[in-house]
Amino acid sequence: MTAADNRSEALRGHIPGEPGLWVLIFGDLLVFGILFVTYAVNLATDVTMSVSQAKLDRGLGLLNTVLLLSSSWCIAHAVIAARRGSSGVRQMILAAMALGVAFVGVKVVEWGGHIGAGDTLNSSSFFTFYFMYTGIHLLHVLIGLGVLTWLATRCDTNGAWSGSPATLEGSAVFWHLVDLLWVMIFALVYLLRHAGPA
Amino acid sequence: MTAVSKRLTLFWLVLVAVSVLSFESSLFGTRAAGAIVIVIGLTKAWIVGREFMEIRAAPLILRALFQAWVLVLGTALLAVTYLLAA
Repeated sequence: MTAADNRSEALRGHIPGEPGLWVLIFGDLLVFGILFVTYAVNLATDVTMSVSQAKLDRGLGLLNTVLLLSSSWCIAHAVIAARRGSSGVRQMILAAMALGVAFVGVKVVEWGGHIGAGDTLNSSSFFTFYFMYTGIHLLHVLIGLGVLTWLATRCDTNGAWSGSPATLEGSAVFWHLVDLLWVMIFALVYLLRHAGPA
Repeated sequence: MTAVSKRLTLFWLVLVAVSVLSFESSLFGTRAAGAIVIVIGLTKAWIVGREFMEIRAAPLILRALFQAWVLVLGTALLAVTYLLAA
């Protein structure tokens, strides 16, 4: 076991970031939980939802899932690098940002396609859910990208972390939350279909 | 690569693999396929929380709250899929 692994073991019982941040995290999880169940109820009871849902490009949803999962991997490695006192922190933050920006790019292309085809916020129940949920999520992504940009400026000239460990950990936790919420949006909005027979 | 890094990379691979798996299983449009999509989605969310957000090493209260969120949401989504489908 390396020294870095020993430090990781020492983290047992440790709250990543500031404790107050977790109030925000669980508040967000609670609100999104209600949004997810509301959507599932509508999908199960309104057969017209699936007609509009069929217009989604599930491949773009999968691509965005892989982009955010990879971005999460990068920011987790930025935290590992900072705990080791390594100089690779900024590099990992910038990689996480690039993948996050790519997510936004895919989302813009996707939204542009739907709006161009006449599917807007008011065109159907499904697209109201789709634009609302992916829009609220996109707002989280943009806030996260702002935080990541700020983190990159907090590294020293060698690319090592120069701020407090809690700041980097807490910011990483928020970025992972953005990933976690997208994973559920992808499952429910893109993949879950109106159920037929068992 | 440290053991922590290897663990994260392994879970990243699992997450990408099950994303593709849930993509395929969703094609059938049955209640069983819906249940698979919900369970895989929540399993992915659980892995992101435990491994990436480091909840697995956090104090009991954080672990319990997160576990409760996953279980309550999973129960509600599965109940809706099986009981409400028109």
